[in-house]
Amino acid sequence: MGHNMADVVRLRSRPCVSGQKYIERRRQEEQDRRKDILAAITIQTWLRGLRVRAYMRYLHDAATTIQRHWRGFFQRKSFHVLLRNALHTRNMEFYNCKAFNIQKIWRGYYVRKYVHNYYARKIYLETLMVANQITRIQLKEIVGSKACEWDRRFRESDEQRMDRLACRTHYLVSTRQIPGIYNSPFLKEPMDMERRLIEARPRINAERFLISARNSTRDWTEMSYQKPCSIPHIRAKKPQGPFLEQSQIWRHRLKPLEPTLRVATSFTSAEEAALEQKREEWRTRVIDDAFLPFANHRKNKKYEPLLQTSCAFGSIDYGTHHFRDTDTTKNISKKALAYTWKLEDGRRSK
Amino acid sequence: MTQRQLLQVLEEYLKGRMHFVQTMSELASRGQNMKMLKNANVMALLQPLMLDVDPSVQQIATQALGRLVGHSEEMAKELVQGEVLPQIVNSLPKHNNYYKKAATLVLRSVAKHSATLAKAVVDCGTLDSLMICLDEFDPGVKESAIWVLCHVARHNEDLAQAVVDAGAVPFLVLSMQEPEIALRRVAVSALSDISKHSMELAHIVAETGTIAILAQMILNPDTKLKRQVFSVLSQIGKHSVDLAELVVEAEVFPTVFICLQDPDEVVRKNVAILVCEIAKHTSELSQLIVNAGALPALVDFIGENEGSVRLPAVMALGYIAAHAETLATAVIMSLGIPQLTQVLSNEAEENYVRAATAWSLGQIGGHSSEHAVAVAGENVLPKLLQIYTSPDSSDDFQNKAKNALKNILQKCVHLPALEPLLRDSPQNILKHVVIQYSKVLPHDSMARRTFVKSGALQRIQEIKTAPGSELLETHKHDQELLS
Repeated sequence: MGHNMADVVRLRSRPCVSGQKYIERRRQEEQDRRKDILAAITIQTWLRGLRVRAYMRYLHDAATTIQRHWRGFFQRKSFHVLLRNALHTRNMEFYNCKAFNIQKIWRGYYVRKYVHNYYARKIYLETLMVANQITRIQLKEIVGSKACEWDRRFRESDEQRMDRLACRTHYLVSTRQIPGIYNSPFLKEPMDMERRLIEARPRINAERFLISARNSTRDWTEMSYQKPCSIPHIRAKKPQGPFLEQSQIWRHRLKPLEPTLRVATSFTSAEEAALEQKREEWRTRVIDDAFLPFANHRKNKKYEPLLQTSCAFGSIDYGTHHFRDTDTTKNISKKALAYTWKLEDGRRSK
Repeated sequence: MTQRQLLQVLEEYLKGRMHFVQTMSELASRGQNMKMLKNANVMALLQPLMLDVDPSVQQIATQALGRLVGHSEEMAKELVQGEVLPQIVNSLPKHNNYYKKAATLVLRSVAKHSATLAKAVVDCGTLDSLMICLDEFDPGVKESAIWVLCHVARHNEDLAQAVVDAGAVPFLVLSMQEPEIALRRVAVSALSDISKHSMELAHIVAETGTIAILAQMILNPDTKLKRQVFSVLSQIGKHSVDLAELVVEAEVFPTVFICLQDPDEVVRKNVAILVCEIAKHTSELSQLIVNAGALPALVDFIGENEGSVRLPAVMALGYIAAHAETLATAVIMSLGIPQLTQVLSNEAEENYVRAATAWSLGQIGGHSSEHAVAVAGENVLPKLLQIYTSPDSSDDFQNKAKNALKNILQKCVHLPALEPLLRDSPQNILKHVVIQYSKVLPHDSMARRTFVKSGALQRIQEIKTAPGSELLETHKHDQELLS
C-alpha cells in the first residue's frame, strides 16, 4: 500500500469517523483475516492450479502436435517403403503367374514337339507303311526283271554246258550204219543231244581264249592279248621252214588298232576347231567393250557431254513453270488450243 | 655203254617218274583213294620227287602232294614234320608259274586243316614268298597265293594279324578290282577271313577304301562273288558302331534288299546276316535301315524261306524292335508278327531258330500294352507257355520262351488273351498273370463281369498257393475286389 501524503491528507480531512467503528472494523478485519487468508490461499491455489494446468495443457498440446507431425512424417516414410514392397510383391505375383503360364505352355510345346511328338510319330508310321508298299512293289519289279535274267542265264549256262559236252563227245553222233545212243529206233525223233552232236564243231585255240575272255566282265575287244593256257605241243615232227609261232601270229591278228595322230584327226578338224572357238566366244563373252589398259586411263576417257547440249531439241526456256507449259500470250486467238478427234459417225468431239 | 644207251635209260627213268607222279596226282584228286595211298606210304615217295631235277616232274609231284595233303590232316602233320615246307617256300620265287601254283596248292592244303598247321606254315616264312607271288602278272598264280592267305587267316586273330603285317591288304584290294572273276572271289573271301576276327583288323581292311569297291560289286551277276562280298560287309560291320556306319554310308542299303531274293541260298543268308549285324548296334542305325525299307524285305524273306536261312532275319527283326518303341510299332504294322508266329509254331523248324523267334517276339511285345496286345493277339502266349513247359525243348529254348513270356505279360492288360494262361501255367508265370488281373479289374466293371462269367474266378479260387507267396497276396487282393 502506497501511503503517500495525499492519502494522509485525504484521510485527515474526512469527517472524523468515530474511533469505535474504526476499532470494530479493525477487530472484524482481524477476525476475518484468517478466513480471508484461507480464502485467498484457496483462490490462489486454484488459480495457480489453473495456470499450471493451462500450461500443462499447452505443453501437452505442443507435444502432441510435434508427435503427431513426427508420426505422420515417419509413418508416411515407412508407408512408402511398405507400399513399395507391397507393390513389388503384387507385381512379382502377377509376373510369376504370367511366367508360370509361359513356362507351362513352353514345356507342353517342347515335350510335344521334341521329346515325344505324337503326330510326327503317327505321320512317320503312316509314311513308313506307304514307303514299305512302294519298296515292295519296286523290289518285285526289279526282282522280276532279274528273275528273267537269272532264268535266262541259268538256261544259257545249261545250254553252254550241253554244247561243250557235245563238243567233247562228238564221236557219239549217229552214222548211217549205227544209230547213236541219242537216236534210238524206238523213239519217233532223235533226242536233243543228237542235234547238238551234229552241230558240234571243233574249237580252235583262239575261240577257247575268247570263251575265257567272255567270262570276265570286260569287252573282249578291249582286252589285250593274254597267253591261253594250253598244253605244250607234241613235238613229234617239227614243221619244216621258218614259220612264225602260233602265239605270235595270233598276237598280230588280234592286235587292236592304234592309229597315229595324223590318221586319227579328221580332215575338217581345223574348221571344226574354228567353229568351236567361235561358239565359245559367243557363249562366254559378255562384255563387248575392249578392255583398255590402265596406263593411259585418264587420257582415254571418253568425254560424255550433257544431255541438254547433246539433245537436238535443246533446253526449254528459263521461266517455264511446267514441262508442258505453253505460253499463250503470243497466241493469235485468246482461246486455249482445243483438241478434237473424229468420232465414228463423222462428228467431232470436244 | 654208249651215249645213246645212257640217254635211253635216263629217258625211261624220266618217263617212269612222270607216269608215277601223274597217276598219283589223278588218284589223289579223288577222296576215296586216300586210305590206300596212305597205306602205300606214297608221301615218302613223293617228297624226294619234289626236289627232282626235271621241272615238270617237280611240278606234278608237288601238285599230287598238295592234293593228298588236302584230304587228310595226318598227312599234313607228316609233311610239316618232314621239314619239306621251308624248301618249298624258299624255292617259290625262283621257279615258273606252274610250280608256283602247285607249291601254293601244297601250302594251302596244309594250312586249311588247323591253326597249329597254319602257324607252322607261317613260321617257314611263307608270307614273304607269297608277297612276291602276288606281284606276278599271271592271275592264276595270284589266285593261288591269295587262297593260301585266305586259309591261313581263317583260323585265329594272330595269324590274320601276321597276314596283315606282311602287307597283304593293299594287294588284296587291288586284286579285287581285276577283271578275272576267280581272282576277285578269292580276294574278297581273304578280306572276309581277315576282318572277321577283331575290330582293328576290320578297321585296317575298311580304311583302304574297300567298302566303296565292295558296294559296287553287290549287283555283280556272279553268285560266289556276291556270297563273299556280303560276308565281308557283315564281318566289317559287326565289330563296332563306326564300322557299321561306314558300311551304311557306302549306300548299300536299298540295293541289298534286291539280293534278299537271289536264287542262291547262301547269298540270301549272307545278306540277312549283314542286315542283322548292322541293326544290332544302335537305334539310329536300325532307324536308318527301316527307313531304307528293310521291314517289308525281311518279312517277305521270312515268309518265303525255310529253315536256318531265316535265323538272321528273325534276329534282325528282334534287334530292330528292341531299340525303340516306334520301331517295334513299325515292325508290328509291317505284319511281322504273323510270320514270326508261323516260324514259332512250325514244329519242323530247328530249335535255335524257334528260340530266336521267341526272343524277338519278347522284344516286340515288351514295350507297352499296345505292343503286348498285338503280340498276344495271334495266340502266341499259349504257344510260348507250351514250349516253356514241354520237357523236350532245350534249356536255351525254354529260357528264351520264359523271358519272352515274362516281358509280354508284364505289359499285357488284354484279359481275353491272359485267360488261356490261367489253366496250366507254372507258379512263376501264373504270378504275373494274376498280377495283371489285379491291375485291370479294380477299374473296369465290364471286365469284372466277364471275369466272373468266364469261370476265370473259379480257376483263381482253385489255385493252391503256398503261404506267404506273392501269389497268395494277389489272390487275396482279387478276392477282396470281387466280394
